[in-house]
Amino acid sequence: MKKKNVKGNIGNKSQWAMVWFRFRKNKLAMFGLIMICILLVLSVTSSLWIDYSRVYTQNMVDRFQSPNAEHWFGTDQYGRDLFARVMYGGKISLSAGLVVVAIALALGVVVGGAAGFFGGRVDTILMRLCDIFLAVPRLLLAMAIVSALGQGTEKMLIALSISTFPGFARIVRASILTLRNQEYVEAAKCCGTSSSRIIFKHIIPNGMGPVIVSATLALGGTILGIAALGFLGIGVVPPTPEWGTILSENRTNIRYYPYLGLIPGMFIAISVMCLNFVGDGLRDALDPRTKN
Amino acid sequence: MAMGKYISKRILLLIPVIIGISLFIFFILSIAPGDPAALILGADATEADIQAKRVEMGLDKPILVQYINYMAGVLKGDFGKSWYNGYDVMEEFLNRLPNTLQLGLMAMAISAVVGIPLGVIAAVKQYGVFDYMTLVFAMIFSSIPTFWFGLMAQIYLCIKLGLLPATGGGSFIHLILPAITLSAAQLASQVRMTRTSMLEVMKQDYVRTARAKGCSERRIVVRHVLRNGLLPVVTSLGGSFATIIGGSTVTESVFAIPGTSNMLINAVKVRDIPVVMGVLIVIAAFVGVVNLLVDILYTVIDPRVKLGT
Repeated sequence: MKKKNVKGNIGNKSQWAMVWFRFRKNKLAMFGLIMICILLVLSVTSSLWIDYSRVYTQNMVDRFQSPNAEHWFGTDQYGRDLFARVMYGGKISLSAGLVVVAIALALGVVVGGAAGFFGGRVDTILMRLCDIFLAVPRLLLAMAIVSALGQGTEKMLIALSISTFPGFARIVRASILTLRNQEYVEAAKCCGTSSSRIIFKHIIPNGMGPVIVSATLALGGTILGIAALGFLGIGVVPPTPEWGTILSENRTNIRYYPYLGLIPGMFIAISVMCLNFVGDGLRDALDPRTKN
Repeated sequence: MAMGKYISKRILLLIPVIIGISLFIFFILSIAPGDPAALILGADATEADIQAKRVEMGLDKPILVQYINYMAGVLKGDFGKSWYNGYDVMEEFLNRLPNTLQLGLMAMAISAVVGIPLGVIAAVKQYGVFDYMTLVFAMIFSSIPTFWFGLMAQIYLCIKLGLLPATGGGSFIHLILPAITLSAAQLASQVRMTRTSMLEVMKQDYVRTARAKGCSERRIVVRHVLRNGLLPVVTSLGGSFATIIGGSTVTESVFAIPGTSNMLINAVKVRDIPVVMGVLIVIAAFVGVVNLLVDILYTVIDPRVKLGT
């Protein structure tokens, strides 16, 4: 038969090409993806096009300038350029979020994967351990770990990773448990396929969907968590800029100079919202049945 | 009786969780750098002073002995004293608990009373203007940071317009804005959750049957869909309790409410470990009991659910 490349024909594409095909049609999700990419590129490359001295140079003469041509986002109480601080802050907020989710995901896949694949006693022990971490609200657990380890950016990353991974472990385990008894896995076993091949070729590609979706949504939640810890004064230590820390520093002045609060807050809200759009879009794209 | 057995089993299961979480904090504390005794006494303290303080705090003993001593105290209701202010942890916690509980319950009430009807209407008028508007608002509210929402509301409603008191606790008026702030994110997920659950039920066969026999749309929604559609919503309310307790940390900080979360934040900043441990243990137990209550409530409203093993 002759293959026709008609638009909308997804018959002969791979699984991920199909997911991408459906994702691309979702305007909101694409908007979110593009926005988050722009924000990431702008903030990660900020050191290339914004001089770092603008982040910390204090200039009392220029303090509390409203947004203008020279200082796009205005200046804060020390006359520091808010635009530079927000851009460098984004680098920390977004990359810290990514690092936390990456570590938590790695831990979650190992723990949840082991629990789901081996089952029995291993499963019971590992899941009980996860229950322990899940018993306390996430932010409170992170706070407790920070209090034991001491303050600092890396310690906050560790604390948030530890408090995030049990959720991932549960999802990975649930995903593996549903796949383990599927007929095609049994069929593969009957054909004498090795365990590692079943794990890497059959279980992982099919079980990855829900894990990726929850990781995207957790990224938004983690960025909110980092900002909250920064705001409470137990996250990134000032004067290092981070969106939550910037808000915390300007807290007393926001009532007189609203742009000091509005701008960093908008950056947090927009990035979290865009990540949620991407997460929802991915969920619909991965499992078209869930869309009503 | 099966129910009694189930409840006692669930309560027994809380014990390893509490032991685990306290052991975990004790463990990371033991590997963390810095001597708490030296930190409390400051730079001027002599070696002998520090040593005496260590003995006083029980830090000279091995970590496992410290832990067992601590847990023995906890069993008797003694959570130790603050390293910095010397107050009794349990007493201070109980003094502050009403503030946090009032705030949390009010926030939960707002998210249930506002969120559930909004979700139901959005589902009934699916793809209508109202549906899209609630979804857009839900999206916005779940993305903005709680503390930012609180800060902005405080500045515009309290300081600029003078409608409500900006900080402090104690009275109903004081709690309105903090409770709205705390419920905002929860409200958003409540709306989405209710909508999804209602839509799920509306696809069921018995709803089609009801329609086929000529039931009015109103009767279908009220009698057939609501009853089953709200079941998952009730469980999610229980889960939201933990989220609300977690979220109340920032809310209490923004509005300067003297609750348990503010106690925890201050303790975390100075590494006041007995306070952190005490608050965490009590909250873990509290959340566990609330989840148990929700599960029991679930069997009452839905007889199909069996509490098993």
